[in-house]
Amino acid sequence: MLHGSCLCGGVKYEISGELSGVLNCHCSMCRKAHGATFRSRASVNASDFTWVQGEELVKHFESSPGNHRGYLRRVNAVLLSNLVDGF
Amino acid sequence: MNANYSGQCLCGEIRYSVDIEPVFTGNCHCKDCQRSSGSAFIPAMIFPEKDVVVSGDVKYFESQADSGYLHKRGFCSNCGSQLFARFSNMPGMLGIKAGTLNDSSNYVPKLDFYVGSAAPWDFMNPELPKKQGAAQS
Repeated sequence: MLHGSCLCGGVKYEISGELSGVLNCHCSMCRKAHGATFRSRASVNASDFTWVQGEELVKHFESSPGNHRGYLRRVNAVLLSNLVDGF
Repeated sequence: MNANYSGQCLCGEIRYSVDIEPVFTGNCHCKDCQRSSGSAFIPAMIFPEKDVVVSGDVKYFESQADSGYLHKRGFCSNCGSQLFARFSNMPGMLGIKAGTLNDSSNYVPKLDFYVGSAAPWDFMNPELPKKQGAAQS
């Protein structure tokens, strides 16, 4: 079981399955969104992902059609990307 | 004349420009920067805040850093991008996260710090000096 959270701890999640598509994305949109050199991301099956707490605190920004970047409204820890089509 | 450094958030709501050189540049690998960015480290530049021109509504979140000082992280409430930081031990200074620069090649890090907290998959430039903890320690 993998466990994760945002910086303030308001949002917590668990992942029970395997990660896939594990990579660092260096595109300009990821650099802007994260303020960092790259975004470190992975995909999980939705059925393997569980919100422990704080799902209602997550706001999504659709940076391009189908890519909803999830972040915590009060802290701004960037947590998730929900890709409609996945990759 | 173009500013030395300019940048914006992902949606363009917040923009900034600076016409001087930063007083510090370095990559912070602390756990808070990993959590807040979702990445391995934050590439940070420090400027006197009076020299940074900012447009747009910046929201700040405050947390206590590993150093014990207060750290305010500035972000866009529309798209969630992180851009700025204020530090209680550096009054009058503003941190800018270099990932938000319009031209990424303008950022030249001089130091890796909090490398003792770095993720095992965080590969660093071996030519940069390393500090286990805070940059100024």
